[in-house]
Formats: sequence, structure tokens, C-alpha cells
Amino acid sequence: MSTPSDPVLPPEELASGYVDGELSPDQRRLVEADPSLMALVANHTVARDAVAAAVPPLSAGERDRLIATALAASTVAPVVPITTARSTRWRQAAIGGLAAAAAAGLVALVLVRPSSDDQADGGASADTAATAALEAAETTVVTNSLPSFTPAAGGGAVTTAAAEAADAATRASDAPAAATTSPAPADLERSSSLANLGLADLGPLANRQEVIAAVAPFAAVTPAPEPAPCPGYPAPVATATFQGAPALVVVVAPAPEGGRLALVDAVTCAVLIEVDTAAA
Amino acid sequence: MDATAPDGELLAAAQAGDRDALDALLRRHIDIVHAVCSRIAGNPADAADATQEALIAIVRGLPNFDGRASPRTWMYRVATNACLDELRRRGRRPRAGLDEHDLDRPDDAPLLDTTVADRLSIEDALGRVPEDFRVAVVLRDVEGMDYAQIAQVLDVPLGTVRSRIARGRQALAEQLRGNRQRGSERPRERP
Repeated sequence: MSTPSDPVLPPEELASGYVDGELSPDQRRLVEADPSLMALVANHTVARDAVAAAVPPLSAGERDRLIATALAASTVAPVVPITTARSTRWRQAAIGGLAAAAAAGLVALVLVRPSSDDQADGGASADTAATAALEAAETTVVTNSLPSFTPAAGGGAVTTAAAEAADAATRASDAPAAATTSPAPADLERSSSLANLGLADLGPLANRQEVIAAVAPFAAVTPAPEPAPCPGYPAPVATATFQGAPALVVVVAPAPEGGRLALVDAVTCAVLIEVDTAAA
Repeated sequence: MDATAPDGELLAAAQAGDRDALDALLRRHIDIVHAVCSRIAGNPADAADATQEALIAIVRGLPNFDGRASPRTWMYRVATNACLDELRRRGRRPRAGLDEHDLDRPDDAPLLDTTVADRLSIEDALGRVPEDFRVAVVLRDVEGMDYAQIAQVLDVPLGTVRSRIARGRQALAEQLRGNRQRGSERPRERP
């Protein structure tokens, strides 16, 4: 007989609790005294044993792959400041864009150079600033042509200074020639630079199914042995926009019958989604 | 960090950036995480992907572990939720579950025979058990958690855990019996 403190349980909960050893001694005696409850216990025991039966284990290779991928995620999981998460190639693309804008401003300046002496002085001043900035930007591109990305390196400061100088030059060029416009640096980095990577763009992707369908052709692609924009991941094979975020498509594990690919945020390098194309 | 250190020490080291500790922690638990995800998913392909998401969720969730739960409870909570989220994202919800009233009918059927509890029929049967019940059963029978731990993992009262396990097992027993009966109805080869 159960004690007053024991909850009144329906038969299946008594049977299941009996199987799991979760009943009080009084409740156990109650179950054992009732053949219908013991029959339920027998059924629940079979169900338990069926679920507890060994699941086919992972192969050693599969275990290693799953763990390696999870560990790789640990390097990109922390929130990384945007200024330190960009790759050399990324920076080059952005600075290249800025330099091009500065050069365009310079050309526009020459075309619309004013005739009066006062205006000419102002134009020459802007000209000088633009030229200096352009040289600085070009120097930075050369400086940053190193094979690996080091977030904390001084190159970042140089790049920033050059970018600011180029931007200042653009503004100076704009002063006498309002017709010349240049995109903001952030816009360049988030949109134009994706195109500057020279990779196939898979366009906007909204969900896993769309991602799997879009990246499936790259499943067997072996990434090029070049510096990767995102630490821990190979060089991207394509670009895309996932749920509004510019993304790089990387092949985590190439396989003709169904590789594993990931979309990583082009700015923060955080993994946006990872898919197995075998699921297509 | 010694790879044989307790979970708590490995987890603390991993939080501090020790990748070897994190590797050891994942290796220690990957098999049981995979087993749980396999039983919840019902097929090997989905199970592998769900396991991957579960491991990644553990890695990414490390900064959030505050020691209020045991490391093991925390990891399985994260892994279970990630596994379920992954399967939901993939649209691999279980087939239409049993109606509630199906689970309430009296059990006057004959006892089950363990020999029919082969892997295929178990996966099929588990897939037909409502998700809430199935997860509770899997955490109990695959992972070996007690009711209190399952209540922590699922963030539900103890009585709810008891009820879900009981009803899940009852539903599973019904399904296994159905599988056996369907199997016995298959035409046999003539001698």
C-alpha cells in the first residue's frame, strides 16, 4: 500500500516508474501485488530495452570529422571585432576599391579644373592630397600581400590609416567637383568586395533547402591552397547572401556523393549555416 | 590538461581556451550524443547531421555555462535542443504521432516479444511516438538520466517527466506490437 505522501499515479506511470526504480518501496509492493500492473511492467521493460539497444556506432573517421568541425567552430564562435576579422584579401579588395575611387576623383578633378587662380590653388591642394593618399593606399596593398592573416598585426593600422587617407582624398576631390561620388567604406567592404573576390555568386538564399540546392555543385570541389579569409576554414569557392548577410561558401569536407559545406559571415567569419549536400 | 580529468575540469579548461580539453570533452561524449540524436532522429543520415549541430552547439555554448547545472546535464541539454532544432529545420518531424486517446486505452494485448525489437522496427516505432514523449524516453533509456536530471534538461516539472516517459513507453509498446503484427502478416515463401 502506498503511503499518504506518495502521489496517486496512473497504471502506466506506476509500471514505468517500477522499471526505472523511481517508485517508493510501498509503490513497488503495490505494483508487484497486481498482475495487470506486472503485465504493464513487462511491456515497458521491452520498450525500454528496445530503446536502450546499441545504436550503430560512428566510424572512427566520422567521429574525427564531427569533432574537427565542432572544434573549428570554436575559433569563429566568439564575437570578433569587424576590424580584426577581415582577411588580407578582403582588405586588399576594400582598399583597392578605395584607391580606384580616389583615382576616379583625381580624373574628375582634372576634367573640371577651374580657371581662376584662387580655384586653381584649391584644386592643386586637393590634387596633392589625392595623390598622396593614392600612393599610401597602393603602398598598403603591397605591404599586405602576405600569405597569412594576422588580426593583431600592425598592417591593420596601416590599412586603416591608408583607408582614411584615401577617403580624405576622395572628400577633397569631391570639394571642387561635386559630380564625383564614391561609396562609403563600409558599403564597399560588404558588397563590392564580395564581387572583387572573383567567385561565383549564388545570390540570396533563405533557408537550408535553398542552400543545399545552391551549394551542391561545389560538393566535390577541393579548395584552392591559398590564404583563407576566415581562420579555420579553407578558401571560399563561392559567395552568397544568406538571410541578408553577405557570406562566403566554404567546403568543409569535399565528397562527390555529398560533401559538407558551410556559409560563413563575410565580415565576422561566424558560421551562418552548415549543410550536408547528401541530404539534397 | 589530462584527458581523463572530470567533466567539470575539462569544461573549465575549455572555457579558458584549452582546445585539448575541449577535444577530450567532445570525444568523451560524442558517442552518447550521437546515440541520443540517432534515437531522436530515427535514421543515420539525420543523426550524423544532428550530432554535428549538437557538438557545435556545445562548443559555442561554452561561454554560457555558469556552473548552476552539472557539466553533464548542461551538455545534454544543449545537445538535445540542438538535435531537435536541426531536425525541425530539416523538416524531419516525426510522422503523424499517435492521438492522445490512443495512449489511454487499456492494455489488454499480449506481452511483447523482445525478439521483434530489432533496430529497424524500433526506429520505425520511435518515429511514431510524439516528440515530447520520445525525447524523455530517449534521455532515460539511452543516456541513463534519472527523472530529476531529465526535468532539468527539458526544463519541465518532475511529474511531467514521469508522465512523458510512461506515455512514451506505452506508445512505443503499442507501436512495437503493431510492427510485429504487420511482420507476421507478410506472405511467406513457399517451401
